[in-house]
Amino acid sequence: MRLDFSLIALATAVLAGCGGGAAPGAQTPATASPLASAQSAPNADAPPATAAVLGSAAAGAGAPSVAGAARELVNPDASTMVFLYYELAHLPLPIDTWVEEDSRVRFAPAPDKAARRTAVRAELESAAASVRGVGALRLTMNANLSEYDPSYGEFTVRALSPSSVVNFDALGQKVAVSFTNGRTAQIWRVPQAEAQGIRDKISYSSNVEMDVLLRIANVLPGPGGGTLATEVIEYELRETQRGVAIARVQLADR
Amino acid sequence: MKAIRCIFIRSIVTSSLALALAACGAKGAGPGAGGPPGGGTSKSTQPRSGNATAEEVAEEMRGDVRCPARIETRPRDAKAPVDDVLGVRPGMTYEEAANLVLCSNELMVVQADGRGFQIQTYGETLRQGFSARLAQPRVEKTSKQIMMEMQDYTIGRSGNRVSEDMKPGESKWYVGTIGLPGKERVINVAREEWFAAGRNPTMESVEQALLKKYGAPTRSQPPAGGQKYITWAYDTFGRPITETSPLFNRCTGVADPDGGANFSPDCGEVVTATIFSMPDNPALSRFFQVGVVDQAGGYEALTATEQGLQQMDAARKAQQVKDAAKNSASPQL
Repeated sequence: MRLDFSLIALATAVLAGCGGGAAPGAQTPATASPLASAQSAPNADAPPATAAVLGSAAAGAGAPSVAGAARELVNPDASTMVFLYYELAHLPLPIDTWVEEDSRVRFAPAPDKAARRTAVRAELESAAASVRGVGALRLTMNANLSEYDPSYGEFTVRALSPSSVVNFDALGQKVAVSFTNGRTAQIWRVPQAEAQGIRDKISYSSNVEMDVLLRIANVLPGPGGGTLATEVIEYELRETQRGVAIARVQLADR
Repeated sequence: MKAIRCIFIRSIVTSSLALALAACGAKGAGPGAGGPPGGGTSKSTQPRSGNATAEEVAEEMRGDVRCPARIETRPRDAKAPVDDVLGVRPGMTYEEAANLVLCSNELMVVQADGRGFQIQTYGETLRQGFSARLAQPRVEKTSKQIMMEMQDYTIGRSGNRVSEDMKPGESKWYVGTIGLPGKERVINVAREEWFAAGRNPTMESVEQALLKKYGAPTRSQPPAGGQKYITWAYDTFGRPITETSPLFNRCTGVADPDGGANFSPDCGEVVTATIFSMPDNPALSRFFQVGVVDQAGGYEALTATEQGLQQMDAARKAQQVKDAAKNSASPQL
C-alpha cells in the first residue's frame, strides 16, 4: 500500500531536528559491488553514503530506538501515527475529546450516543494499544530523485533531504516524520559510467519510488502535534511504472 | 506521493529607527535581551538633545569600544569556504560581531534592529540582529523646518524623485543573530559600501577584489541594468554548488543589508555580492554589497532556539502550577 501524503510548503520554522548527518561510524562499509564502491567519497568532504547492490543489504546489530522497541510499522495511516506519537512522547491520550469529536458520536441520535461512545472509545483504546513497542517505520513514497549530478557523481534523493518531512494529520493532531541523517541519506553516489544506465531505466526522475526503513530516534513535542525524528536505516529505489528495482542503499545498522 | 517541504524562515524586513544605541567592550554590561546591542555601555543613558557633530554623536553612542575586537569564537576551518565580511562571520556571538562592526569605522554606530524571524518566542525578547551605519550629525529642527522637509519629501515622492539613503563614502551593515536570550549568534551578515565621490573604482577591479577574497564563484552573471551579481554557494558539506546540482537554483543568499534571508537545512553557506555601476559610466562602480548567509546553520539555530524557548515556557508554566498548588486562594462557594 502506498502512502498518500500531501505536499506542504511551510513558511514557518519547523520543530524538527534537521541537518544533522549520520555519524560516519554508523555507516555500513562499502561492499565490493560497483554501486557500493561508488559510494566511496571522492574527497574528504564528500558525503559518505554507502550503498549495496540489490539483495546484499546487511542487517547489523540492533541499535535502540527512542522507545527501545523493535516492532516496525509498515505504511501506517495518519491516526496510527498520532497514537504512536502520543505513545512515544508519553503524553496522556485525550480519549474523551476524541470520542466526543468523532462524527459517529457527534451526529448520533441522542438515544444511541452512549452506545456509540462506548464503541468508539473501545476502538480508540485498541488502536492506541496496537502501537506499543514500535520503534521503526517502513514507508513507501516517491523518492523525488534529482537529475544526476556529474560534478560529484551522485543523485540526490530529495525525499530524504533535511528539509523533507512526511506529514500525518488525524484526530486534530499533526505529526511529522523528519530525517535526522537526511544530510547524508539523501546522497546516492553512482559512478558516471553507470549513471546513464540508471537514467535510461527510470526515464523521468519523478518515476522513482522507494521503500525506506526508519528508526525512530527522538520525539519532539509541539503544540497541536509533534515530530518524530527518525534515522534512515536503508532504502530501496525502484522505477514506479514497471517496478524495476534500481538500488538498495544502507546507511546504518538495523 | 510524499511530503517534502523546503522550509524558509524569512526575516521580516523593516526599518527600525529605535536607537537602543551602545557599544561593546570589556567594561560592558552583561549581554541581555534588553541590553545594548554591543553588550557594552554607552556613555549616557539620558535622552540626547541639542545639536551635535557626527563625531560627538558617535562618541555618545559607541561608548567604550575596544579595537581590534577580541574574538573567542573558533576561527573558520582552513579548508572551509571564506565566509566573512570584514571579519564578521556566521557563528560569532552577538557581542563579537557588534565589536567588529564598530571597529570597522570610528563613526560606525550599532543599533538594535526591528527585524524578526517568524518563530514562536513565547514572550521572550531575543536579539535577532542589529544594523549599523555611520553616525549622522544631530540637528535640532524647528517645526517650520520639519514641515518644509515633509513637504519636500511629499513633492519628491509624487514626482518619483530618486532618493538614496546612503551617500558616497558611507557604509552600512545588517547582522542577523539568533539564540536563547544572551546567547545569540550570527547567522547572516550583509554590508553595503559606497565609494567616495571621485574615487570610484572600476567594476572589474571590485569584482577581482571579491574573487581574490572569496575564490572562484559558483555563479557569475554578466552585468545587466548596471548591476553585477556574483554568488559563492556551498552545500552542507562545504562543496561548491555547481550548475548540475539540484541545489543550484535553490540556495540563494542576500547581499543587501535591507534584504530578507531564507534559511533551508538543505543548503550550506551562501556568499552573495552585487556590484552597482555609476549611472553615467557603467565601467565604474558606485557601490557594492556583500552578504553571507549560513542557511543550514541558521536553520538549525532557529530551530534549536524555538525548542529551547518552548522548553523554558513549559518549565515556567509547570512552576506556576506548582506554586499555585501551594499559594493560591480557594474559591469561596
